[in-house]
Amino acid sequence: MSNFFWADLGTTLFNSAVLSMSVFIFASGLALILGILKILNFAHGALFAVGAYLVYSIVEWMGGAADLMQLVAAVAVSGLVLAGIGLAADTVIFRRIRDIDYHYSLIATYALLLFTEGLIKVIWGVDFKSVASPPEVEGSLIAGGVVMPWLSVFAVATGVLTFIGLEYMLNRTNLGKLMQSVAVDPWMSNALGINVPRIYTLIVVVSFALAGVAGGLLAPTTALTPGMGIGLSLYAFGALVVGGMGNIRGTFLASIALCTLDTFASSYLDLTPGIAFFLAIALILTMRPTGLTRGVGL
Amino acid sequence: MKQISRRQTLAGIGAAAASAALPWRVLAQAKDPIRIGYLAPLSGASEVIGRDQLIGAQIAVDQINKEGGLMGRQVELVVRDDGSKPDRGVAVVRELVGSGINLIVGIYASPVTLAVADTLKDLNALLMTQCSALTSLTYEKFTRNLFRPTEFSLMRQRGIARLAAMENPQLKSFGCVTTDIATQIDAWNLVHDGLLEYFPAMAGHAVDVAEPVRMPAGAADYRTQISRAMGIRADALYVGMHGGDVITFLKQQKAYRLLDRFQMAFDAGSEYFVPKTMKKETPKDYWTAIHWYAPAYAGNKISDDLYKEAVTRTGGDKYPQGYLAEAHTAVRALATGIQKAQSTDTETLISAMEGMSFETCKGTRTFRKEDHQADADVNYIRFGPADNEDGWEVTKYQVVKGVDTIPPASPGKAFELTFLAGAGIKPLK
Repeated sequence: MSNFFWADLGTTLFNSAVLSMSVFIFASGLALILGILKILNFAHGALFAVGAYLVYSIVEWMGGAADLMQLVAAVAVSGLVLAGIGLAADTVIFRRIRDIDYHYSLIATYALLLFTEGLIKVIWGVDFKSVASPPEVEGSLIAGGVVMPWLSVFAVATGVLTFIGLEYMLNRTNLGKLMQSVAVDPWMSNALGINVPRIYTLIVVVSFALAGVAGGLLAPTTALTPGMGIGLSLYAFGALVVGGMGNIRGTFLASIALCTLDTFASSYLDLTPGIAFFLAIALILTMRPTGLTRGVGL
Repeated sequence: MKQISRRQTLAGIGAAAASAALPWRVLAQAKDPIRIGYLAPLSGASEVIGRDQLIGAQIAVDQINKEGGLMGRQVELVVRDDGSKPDRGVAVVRELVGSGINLIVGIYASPVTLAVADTLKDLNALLMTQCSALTSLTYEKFTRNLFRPTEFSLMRQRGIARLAAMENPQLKSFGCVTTDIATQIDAWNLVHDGLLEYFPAMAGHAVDVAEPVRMPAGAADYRTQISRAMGIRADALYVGMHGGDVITFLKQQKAYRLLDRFQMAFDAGSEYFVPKTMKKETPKDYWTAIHWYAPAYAGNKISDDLYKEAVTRTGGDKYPQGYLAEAHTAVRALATGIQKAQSTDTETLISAMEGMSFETCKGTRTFRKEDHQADADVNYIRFGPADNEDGWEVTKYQVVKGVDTIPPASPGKAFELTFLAGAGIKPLK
């Protein structure tokens, strides 16, 4: 096998990793809220967009350019702001739709999506926006012929760290164990004295914060538009369904599996991008209708 | 002598009074404004374009009214949002016609124009499009009730091939990255056909064209396709993308330095969106098409007045999008037709406007009698990053005359990509 073959393979694997982690970072917040509250939050893409626009505003306030640490700080602020919005949204919306028919919760979150997109247009307008890449991550790491933009390396690292962080929180901390028990049996959890409504509120807040962080992290790599979350939303919903409807580990695995398949198909089979992704969803669900993972909701 | 009774006298006075009132009623109708329906995408993904188009159309109407209106009547724009959706466009046009409006200006999205065009004859309405670029509207989908005062995809894409031959005759090969949607595939085929015509004719040699790399529209990640495009061995790159997609692509390719590998890079026509959004991150020496580059028409009173008003109404934006100018042109074209015909009747107007010349911000244009297509100039700009307040600047511009790129009319028949066919190359599907 020639050096070119290995470089090409390496590039495709790296691109798969970038897409997988971008999808996972986006989908993680969605998985949390679906896994515990059993609510499919249609507005997640719009919240992702709000996170991106917040980072844009912060960077503009800094003079239109930010170094890496300033960008990280802006992303953290974006996460905090979205967390606050999540608290408000829980009080006004999510608390009221927890125990109702899921059709109504879908309508409610869709309404939140439309409202949020409208709010973005009112605050930031409809013109395209852009966040400049920090100078420290503008170039690429080249190893063995494989071109790895530093910003992409940063995205992959963030995705892996997000997964490790969520895994640790859910499986190694008391809070995480409380969340898991609430996800499995909220009635029994309540009977045992767990403050279930507070857990639910915390999940909404964390989910919104994750959407804000995802938007902020991916902002330097894309044009900002009010509807910018739609593209990743489709991939994220696919990963959620294949992953096991709200299972974090499943979502992580599904993101990797589906995005790797899609990237390889686009690169080597010249298939229209996206086709392989959705074909893979159909195939996996045919073989495993409950998704890749089973067991507890998270 | 017959005696006239008091009753007869009173009846006569009453009849005289009634007949004296009649002309006043006619005069009142004559003073009613001329209502013109205006469609634009004021919501949805193209809202950023529709917003500017509405400004251009309104400027035109205000200027016309300031000059005394048309046929002694003021002009009123009845604005509707088509949301870039064909079914909504048709419903809105039917609503306008139902309320007595037979003259429609506007529509940006070609699918909407296509859907509306099918209804015009039955509704006895006339549509003056703005920026609907689809070639077939004045070819196989031609309808008498539609006029296109602006350049369209065929002129624009062939124009950029001509531009490449004029600017860089040394180029020997071209590559392409394109979103996988019909309008962009269509645009690439036109560019390809143009390259095969203009390079032998103007540069004295043929060019090789590589297989395009397809991209998904609306994606957040183009890195896989950018990695594939790194394998393109060519002198120049055509980027068949627009809107947010081209900005995302240009941002992501930077780390790969993809554009640095080519002597010339150009796209299908993204106006000022790229440099205004990317500012200092704007790629260097990047060509694009723009509907109206105001500095190229300095001294043209319509252009100068339009520019001043556009800057004011867009809140001080020194770089108003060309879409604004084409909306302005569409309204003025219709106004010229009404003045010429001294009528707002559909059939009378159609007859009056066939072969009609009209003044615009880009000079004089003329509607061809056969296909109602005007010979509009196409403007191209090359821009790059700059150390100024805007972060970017236009480094060069070219005006390609419409008559140099518009092929012969053939209403009712599809445009044939004769140079592709001659080279035995199948168009991209």
